[in-house]
Amino acid sequence: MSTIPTIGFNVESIQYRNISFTVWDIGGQDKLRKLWQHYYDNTNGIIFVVDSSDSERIAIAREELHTLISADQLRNASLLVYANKQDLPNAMSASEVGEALGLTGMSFSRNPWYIQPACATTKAGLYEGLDWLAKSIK
Amino acid sequence: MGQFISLLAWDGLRSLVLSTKESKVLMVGLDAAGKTTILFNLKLNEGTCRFVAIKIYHDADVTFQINGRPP
Repeated sequence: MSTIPTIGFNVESIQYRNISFTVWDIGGQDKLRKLWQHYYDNTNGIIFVVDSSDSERIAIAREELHTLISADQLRNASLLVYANKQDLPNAMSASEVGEALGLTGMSFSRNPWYIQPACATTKAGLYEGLDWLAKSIK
Repeated sequence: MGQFISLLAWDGLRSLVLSTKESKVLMVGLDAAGKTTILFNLKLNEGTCRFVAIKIYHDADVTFQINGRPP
């Protein structure tokens, strides 16, 4: 499938269970990542999306995640990680992604977190992840 | 604009009636991780036609699109 990079952001309101999620999808290109911090205020939940087949850049993803999670405004936010692109033949498993991101290390963060294998194009795993997020935010 | 305000009012009313909790979620990750695909696939599956989107496209000059319509 062909997609175009997000410049700026997309915002959608998604109704799920009895929560109305306002989801801010912020561009992930190198130069845009320093803008993430401007969206931190009043955030209840974080969805961190990882390309499980991109083992070359998983270390960069780890770095960005750890910077993100150490931000003071996000100290109470629940963290959902989608180990995405599980349909690709060379994809790491969710536990391998968790390991590579340093999630499983001792006292990774003060935030509740959960990692969910997913395939965005077939929607596999997307709602399982949202289920956890809805319960965690409640 | 009026339509936008009435959408907001409808949202407020519905959250009162159904005791919907509002929550702000930040979706981040490296480029090409699949964030936008996830967002739009979740949205498509929602089963309502309520669609509030604010998109910014940057080209040679900046264009704002509200609800998918050019200004």
